[in-house]
Amino acid sequence: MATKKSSKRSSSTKRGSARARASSASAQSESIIFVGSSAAQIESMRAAKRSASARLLQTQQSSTFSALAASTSPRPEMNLVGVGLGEKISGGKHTGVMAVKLLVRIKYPDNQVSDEERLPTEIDGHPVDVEQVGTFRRFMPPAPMPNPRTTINPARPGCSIGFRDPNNQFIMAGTFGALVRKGAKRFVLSNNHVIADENQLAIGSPIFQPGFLDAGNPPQNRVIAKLSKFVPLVVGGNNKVDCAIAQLTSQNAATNPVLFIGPPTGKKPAQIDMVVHKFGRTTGFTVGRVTSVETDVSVQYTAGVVSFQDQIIIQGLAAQPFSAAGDSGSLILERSSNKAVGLLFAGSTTHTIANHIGDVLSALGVSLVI
Amino acid sequence: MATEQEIREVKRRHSERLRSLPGVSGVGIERDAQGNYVLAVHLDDPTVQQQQQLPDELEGHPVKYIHSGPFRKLPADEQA
Repeated sequence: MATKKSSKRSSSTKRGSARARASSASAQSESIIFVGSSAAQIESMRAAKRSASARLLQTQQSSTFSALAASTSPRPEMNLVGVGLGEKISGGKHTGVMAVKLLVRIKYPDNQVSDEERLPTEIDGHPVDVEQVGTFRRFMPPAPMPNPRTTINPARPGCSIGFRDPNNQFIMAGTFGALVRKGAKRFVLSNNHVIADENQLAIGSPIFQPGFLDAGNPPQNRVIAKLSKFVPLVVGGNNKVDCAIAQLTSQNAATNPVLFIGPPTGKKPAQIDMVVHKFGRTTGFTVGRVTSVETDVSVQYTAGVVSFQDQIIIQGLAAQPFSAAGDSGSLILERSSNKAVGLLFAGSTTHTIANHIGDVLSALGVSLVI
Repeated sequence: MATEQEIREVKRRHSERLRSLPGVSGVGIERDAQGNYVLAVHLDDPTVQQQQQLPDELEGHPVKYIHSGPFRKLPADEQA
C-alpha cells in the first residue's frame, strides 16, 4: 500500500507542476503546484488531503479486496486508490483551481452510485476532483532470461549444443539455430563447424545438448540428434554457407520456439538497416542492425581461411556486441516480424556475420518448422 | 551518385584482390548516412590502410574503411 500511494501522488502532482510551469514564470514558491497560494492556504489543503486520505483510503488488506482484483464497485473501499492534491480538471479543461484529488479505478455515472457510496464533493471546505486512473499495479518484472547452457528438454533453438571431439582434444559448444524439416523428418539446424566439426565428423555422429563445454565433469548431457548432412566448407573456394543438419533421435527431442523469442513466423531476405534479434548460447538475447547484405568475408577456421560471398553483416544496438564465441548457429530474426533472415556463424569483437537463411535452407533441402 | 548496381560491379571487380591483402577481411556494400551505396572494406586494425596503401576511392567511388578486427568462426571451445 505504501508504494501504491507514493506512485499516485507523484502522478497527480506531475500534472499540476507542468501546468504551473506553463502558467507562471515565478516558480520560486515552496512547492511549484502551489504558485499563488499563501502558506496558510497550502497547509489547509494539505490538512484536507490528510483527512480525506485517512477517512476514505483503504490502507489494510481486507479479506474481500485485493489491489489486483478484477471486480469493481463504486464503494470507496474498492474504488478509491489514491488521494492527492492537484488542479481541478473539469470537462477535460484545466480550471486553475487547486483541489483534493480523489483517484478512482472507475468513475461511475452519478446514477449508478448510491448515497452511501458517494464520494464527498468537498473536503474541509476545499473542492474535490474525482479522476479515473484505472488500477494501480506494480510494473511487471521482465520475463526471466533462460539459461541456454543448461539441460533444456525438449531442446529449443537458442540452447547450447555440440559434438564430441573424437580425439578428446577439446570440448566445445555452439547454438541450436532452428528446427527444420524435410517431409516428416525433423532436424536440428546449426553450423557445419558446430555439429560437423568442419567436415570432419562422420554422418550419424551424435549431437549433444548441452554441448560438452557446458555439460560439467562428469558430463551431464544427452544425445538429441544425429548428424545427417553438412554443406562442405571449402578452404580456398567460394562458400555461401556454413551449415549442417542433424535428425532428431525422437520427434519430441526438440521443439521450434526460440528461447525467449518464440517460434519463427517464416523467412524473408535481410535488408540494410533491418533491426534483428537472436538468442544464442553465449550472449543470450541481443538486438542488432543489419549494415550489409552482400559482404564477402575471409574467416579464420581450424582448417585455414575460408572465404564466403555475399554475407549479412550485423552490429549490436547501443554499442553492445551482437554475438560472441559460442553463439555460432543462432537463428537471426527480424525483430518486428520474427521472420528468420540469417544463420549466425562468424564475427569479430564488433561485427557479426550470418549466412542468408534462404541460402542455408535451399543448400540443405529443408524448410523451417514454423 | 553511384547506383547500387555500380557499387556491386566495383565490389565484384575488387573483392578477391583486396581480401588477398594481409589485414583485409571483408569487402561489401553498405549505405552511408545519406543513404548512398558505398563500398565498405573491413580491416583488422587501423594500420592496415596505410600498410597496404589502400586508396580512399576506387574507380572514382569513395571507399568506407571499417576497423572490425579479424573475423573468426564463433564456437566456444577449450582444451579437454
